[in-house]
Amino acid sequence: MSQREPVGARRPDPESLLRRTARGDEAAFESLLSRFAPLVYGVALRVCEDRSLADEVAQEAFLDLWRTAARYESGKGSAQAWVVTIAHRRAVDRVRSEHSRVRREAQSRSLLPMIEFDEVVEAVEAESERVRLRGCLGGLSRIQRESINLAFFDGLTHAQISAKLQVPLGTAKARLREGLGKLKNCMGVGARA
Amino acid sequence: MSTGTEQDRAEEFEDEHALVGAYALNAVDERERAEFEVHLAACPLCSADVPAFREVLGRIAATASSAPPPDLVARALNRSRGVRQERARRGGWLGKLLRLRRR
Repeated sequence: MSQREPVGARRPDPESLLRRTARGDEAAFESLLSRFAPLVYGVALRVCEDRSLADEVAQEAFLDLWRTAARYESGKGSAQAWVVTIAHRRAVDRVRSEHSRVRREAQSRSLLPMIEFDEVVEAVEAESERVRLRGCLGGLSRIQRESINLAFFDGLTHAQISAKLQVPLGTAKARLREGLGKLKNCMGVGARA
Repeated sequence: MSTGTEQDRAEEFEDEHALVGAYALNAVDERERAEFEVHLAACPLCSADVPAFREVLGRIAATASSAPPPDLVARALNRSRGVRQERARRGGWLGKLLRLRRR
């Protein structure tokens, strides 16, 4: 098993690693996992709020990545988006089946203060990316931002978000769509055909 | 609660694309997911939005990155050994044609 690649070494892009993984290339799969482990584990941890659950979710997500790599079509998006999609789905499925009701509602995390994107944005390494992300998030309305936050990081459904934000059913899904639409335009993604 | 603004009224007649954001965020229940996937398969607008929204979420996710347990990757590699991978399938009309010809 190889050591983690040294920082600054030329690294194959993750899209090609994913395509090689689809052909059963274990070395490429290992590089892919090393690259995305903090991302996958981080998403799982934020959604599950529990280290051992997050560990299990990350393992499941990695296994999904291995099994379904052949479904990835590079024309339709980045490897990072693909990986996050898989990890988030696993994490959300897990918290919903696990208990959501028990833990989350019992301890009733108050809506505010929640972890604000601002704090969390500090974790992004690249300065320019951080600035851009903050700028784009700043362009959202409060409800758009909170709705996306609750859906992505807490794994709530749009109906649960509407209840939590005390807005009519149907409002949260509209805000999620608008908010993501704004972010899409602001970040300039989705241009590839 | 509802203030009866133009926007609220517009949302009462919600369009079939309304769930696209919630879907990309996994903020749907199983029934909604299944129903929306039927719509998605036939809707070019949503078919463009879903991957674009996932790019957005991929970037937001980076804000949550966290140091994993040191042996996480090694354990995952171990587990994946011997697990069969799905084979690539040709999509679209070409794939259908090829599968048809194999019958």
